[in-house]
Amino acid sequence: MKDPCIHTSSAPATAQTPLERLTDGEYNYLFHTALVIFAASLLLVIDRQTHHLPDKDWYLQPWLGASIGLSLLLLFSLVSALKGLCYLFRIPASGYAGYVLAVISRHRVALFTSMLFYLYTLAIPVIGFAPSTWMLTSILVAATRLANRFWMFMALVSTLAIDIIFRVAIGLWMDDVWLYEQLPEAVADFLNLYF
Amino acid sequence: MENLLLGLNEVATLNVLLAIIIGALIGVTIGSIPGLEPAGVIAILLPLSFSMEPLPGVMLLVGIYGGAWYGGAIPAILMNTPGTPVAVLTTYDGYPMAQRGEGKRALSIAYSSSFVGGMISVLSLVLLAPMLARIAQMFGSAEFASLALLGMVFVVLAHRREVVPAAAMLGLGIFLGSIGLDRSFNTQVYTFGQINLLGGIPLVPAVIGLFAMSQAFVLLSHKGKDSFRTHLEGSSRFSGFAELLRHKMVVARSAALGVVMGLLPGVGEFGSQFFSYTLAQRFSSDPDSFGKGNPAGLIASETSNNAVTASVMVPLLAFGIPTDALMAMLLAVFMVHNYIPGPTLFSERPEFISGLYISLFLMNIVVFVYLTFATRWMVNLTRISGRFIGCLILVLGFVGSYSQNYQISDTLIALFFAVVGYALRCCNIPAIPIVLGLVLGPVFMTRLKQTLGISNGDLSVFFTRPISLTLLIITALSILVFLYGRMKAPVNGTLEQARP
Repeated sequence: MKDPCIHTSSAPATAQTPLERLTDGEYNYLFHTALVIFAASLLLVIDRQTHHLPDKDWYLQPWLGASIGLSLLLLFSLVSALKGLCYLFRIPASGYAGYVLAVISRHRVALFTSMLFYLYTLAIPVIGFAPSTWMLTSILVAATRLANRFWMFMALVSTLAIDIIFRVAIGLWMDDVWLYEQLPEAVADFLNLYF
Repeated sequence: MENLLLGLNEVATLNVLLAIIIGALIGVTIGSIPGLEPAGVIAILLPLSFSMEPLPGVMLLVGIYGGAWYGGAIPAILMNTPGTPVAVLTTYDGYPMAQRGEGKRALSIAYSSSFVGGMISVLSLVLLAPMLARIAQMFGSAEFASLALLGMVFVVLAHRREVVPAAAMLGLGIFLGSIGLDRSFNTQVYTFGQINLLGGIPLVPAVIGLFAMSQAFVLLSHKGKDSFRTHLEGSSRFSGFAELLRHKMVVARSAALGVVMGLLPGVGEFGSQFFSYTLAQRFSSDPDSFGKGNPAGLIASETSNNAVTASVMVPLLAFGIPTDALMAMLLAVFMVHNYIPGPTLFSERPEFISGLYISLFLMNIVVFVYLTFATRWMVNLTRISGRFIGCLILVLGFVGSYSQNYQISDTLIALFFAVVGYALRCCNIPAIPIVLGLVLGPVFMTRLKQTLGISNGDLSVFFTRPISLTLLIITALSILVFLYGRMKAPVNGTLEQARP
């Protein structure tokens, strides 16, 4: 039987190590494996997360749609994930840590940005929309090697523009902000309304 | 005639005209900035369109969509960088022309081709949508279930190089679409006790995360130089139309292909431009010059791209079945205003339908005129740093996902989908099947339950009704043809080999 790990094409992939094959672009089988685990776990709890109605026919059961979707996800992710198993076995046991680190390193900007965005959503009720937005854009501008006067100024201008468009012109409603509440009432009302 | 006057009455309001102009200008701007995709911006503006009247709301989004395909030609021709993903083939002949000092001529050809393609597309919508809507009157639950199934299968098969992951993503979308309260029996499905999930996975944060915020992650991760200084050379601003007259057959063939491909779920602009380009090359007297600055290649690519923009709305308007992510978003706009797409929309809201047709014609005219005279300034947009745009997309993604229900939890859902979308982009896995699974999955399940409820669980009902049977045969044939094509492919024509 043909070894599925032997790369038959003339594509540049022939020069790749098993580790690169596992972490590079479309060959990122870690993602497919995660999908398999995700789908299998959800299928395992299907009886707890949906109800079986004994007096109803199969096509009326609430679990039908979810089970069709999860089965498709499991089946087709499994096909992709299995392709990666052979590469995984070719990495020495000591290389697994390197594999995980390689994946994290490759996506560090996205991970950092996600964390920053999460903190941004937490910061808005505490310090307000405009200050949080200005902080987010400034930190991101600095972190992406655009930390010069021009782009910092652009971050400030963009923040003001977004605030004016969405908070002032469109009137996007937001909860009262903790920081503004510490200020005199008239100022707090103004800031809560527009910033 | 009466409907035409009603439509004109609908369009001749400040709201609609502003929506057309603003949408078109935003679209052109987005298209001109490499890396910024229209789907993300449309997703961000989706909640805003909910608060507008139906026609301005739809035209704002369609204007962005249509305008972006025009604008994508600017960086494709001047910088060899497609402004939108579908402008890839525009670079093949557009950039060599610009290098020869014919930048203005290439842009004029691109704008003229896009304009003709766009107009033909709107004309096809005017002719085909009412015709298909009459056919849709014969549809029952079984037919709609079969059509939804056909749509889902087509979307998967359209991702020829990623069929397996596309099918997995469709499954994920169907699953996500099933989450929430099953209203038939008042039972919860995969809510994990979260009250926020009782209403199901909200479409707006999902599409904002998948298309806009994930794109921001990609832009922010970009290393190296991401802004360019470009200059415009050449002359003859209106020479494009003369070129089109010299290549009438290419225009006709590409427009026809674009219209037909727009009708097929999931195929859209990508399929149409590749087919059009290939055919233009095959029938050309000088095929070797393609890829080296042949205007026919540029015409084929741009005409077919834009011929899709309105015809893609035909299945949505006639059957209520969206065929791509944007149509799924438009369906949401329709539903918010209680405009149910399908045959009844044509009989109950003729003024809206006529207004939509007229607005689409106007949108093409606005974009063409704007681009013809403003290209000199538009090229400066290519200098904006992609990383800076990424920062702004994140903030706008927050605003977009928050503004529908004023809930921070929606922004966290958007963040979750952004991470998923980013992972999908890194793995070259298409995200569109998720959105269509999310929208078409519940349609399919509801219609399936209705059909089997009427027939007491007898599945043969799908095969005894002629239209349903035809749709199922088309579905089965599509799968068989795809599998046959896969088996006939050479040994090394595997997924790995097929990738560029």
